[in-house]
Order: sequence, then C-alpha cells, then structure tokens
Amino acid sequence: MGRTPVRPTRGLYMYSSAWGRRLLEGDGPAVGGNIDAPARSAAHGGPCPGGGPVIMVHTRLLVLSSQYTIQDPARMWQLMRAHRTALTRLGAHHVAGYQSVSSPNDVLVTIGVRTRRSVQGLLASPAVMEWFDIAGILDLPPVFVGALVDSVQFASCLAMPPPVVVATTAPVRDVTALMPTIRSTAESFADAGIRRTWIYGAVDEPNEVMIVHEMADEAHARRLGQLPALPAGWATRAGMAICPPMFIGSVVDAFDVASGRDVAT
Amino acid sequence: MFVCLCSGATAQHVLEAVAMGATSSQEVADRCGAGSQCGLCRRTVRAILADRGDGGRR
Repeated sequence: MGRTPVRPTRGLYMYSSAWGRRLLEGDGPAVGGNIDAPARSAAHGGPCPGGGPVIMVHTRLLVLSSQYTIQDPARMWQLMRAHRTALTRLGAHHVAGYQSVSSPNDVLVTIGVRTRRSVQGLLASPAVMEWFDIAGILDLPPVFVGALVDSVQFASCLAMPPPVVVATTAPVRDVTALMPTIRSTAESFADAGIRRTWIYGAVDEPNEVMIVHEMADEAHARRLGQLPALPAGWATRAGMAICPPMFIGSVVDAFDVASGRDVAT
Repeated sequence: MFVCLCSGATAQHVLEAVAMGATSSQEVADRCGAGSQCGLCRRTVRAILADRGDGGRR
C-alpha cells in the first residue's frame, strides 16, 4: 500500500500517529480519505442527465463536504446519529459536524464515503437528499466532493476529533505543488497553531481544493482566519463565485457510521 | 463544487452556461441541467449569475 510513516523532521510529522496508521488502513476520520488512492483519478465518461460528463472515480474513499446555515443546529446534531441507516446506504463510514465559532447557525458537515458509484450517482442518491432534509435545508448548498491528496502533521500529539478546524475551499494554480509549499513552511504552520493540514482535490475540478487545518484551539483558529487562506501567489480568481467563505468551527459530533461510536484517538 | 445534486451539474457547468449566454436560472437549467429538476439549487445558480453581473434576479 505504498506510503509508510515518516520520521518527524523539524516539527513536521507525516502519518506518524496511531490515527494516521488507522487512516492508512482506511479507517480515517470523516474528513479523511484513502491516502494511497489515486487522488486525481476522475475519468470522464458519458453524459449525465444535466448534459455534463459522468465522473467515475476509481478512488473508493471520497469526502463529501458542505457548509450551510440552518435554523436549528441542535436538532440536526441530535438527528445525525439517528439517521445512520441512510448514511450506511450512501456508503458513509465517518461523519463529522462542526459549528461555526462566530455564527452558531453556520455548520460544516463532512462525510467520508466508500463507494464505487459515479459521483453523480452518489449525489443523486435519496440518502443525500434525506441528509439535507434532516438539516431542514430548503436551498441546497454546493457540495464539495473530493479525494485526499495529502496531509501533513505539524504536532506530535493530535486530538481526535480535532477541537477546532479552519476549512477553506478554493481554486489554486497547481494542486500537486501546493503540499511541498506547505511543508516548506512547516515551522510557521506549527507556530500558527496548526496541528495537521489535510488537502482534498475536487473530483470535478482539477485545480480546486478543500484545505482543512486542525487547530490547537479557537484563539489560533480565529487568528488564522484573519490571514489569506492560501500562500501568497496560490489563489486564483477562477471559480471563486461558488466557493463558500472560510469556515472556522468547533467539532460538535464525529462518529463512525457503522458502529455509532465516537471518533476518538 | 457540485451545484445540482439531481443532475450532477457543477459550478463549472453553470459558469459555462453563463458564458454561453444564459442570463437566468431557467436558461442555466436549459443549458446544463442545474435546477431543472427539484429546483432546490436555484438559489446557488442565481448567486453565480449575480456574481457574473446580471443580478441573478430571474
């Protein structure tokens, strides 16, 4: 299965934790995916009902992520676990829900999915619509669907689920070159309170990524939120109209879909 | 980002529809399928139209 844990170098840790090993074995967090899977393996086939190409992803592990505003977050959190059956039909293995630290009605939900279906087939599944029904959403938000490109750990000890995350979806100039840039600034990332960074590549857009920073605490997350989401020179304007604003949130719930158990180290 | 779960239309599909002359959510639906079925994504479609300059009111 390829990649092996790497020794920490100057505060930079890669896949070195117990959690990282579980991730390598396909038992990662909801925001995780298959590290060894070909992250950019979208192949375009015939037309979808809307006229676009059907995106077949050979990667079996995907992350579905969506950010939206709801009237009653408490109700949604309560119902999430109660609807594990629907999530199982979707192929979900982990779910994590985060609540914005500044706007309590704004939430970010990530669902790790193991599937062989086309992405369009996955999204058109009644289980997805049921999920949004649970949340009480009347206007569907855009959904990011991606596969893990890489992750970098900047701290030796990680909390799982991470207490606070900063998530950004944005188009970048070059996805594959982004991680070396992040690694080269590992010390500044660690100083900023970033404990681990996940990069997911969108299956529908080769230059779109979702970046999830696991933060040490809310104070560091708020400070990070005041900085540009991407390193200087990496952002591109194309596609920004659809991208949600940077999300800073604390975890409300994270669980294994099959067992219903909390995600924990 | 996927805009329309029913059709699988992405933001890029919507942007292409707009670039080809769509100026309303109905025209976007006609061109790429986004919003043509349950219609719950039309608010997002209108946001893209608004960002592209026509106000996204239709």
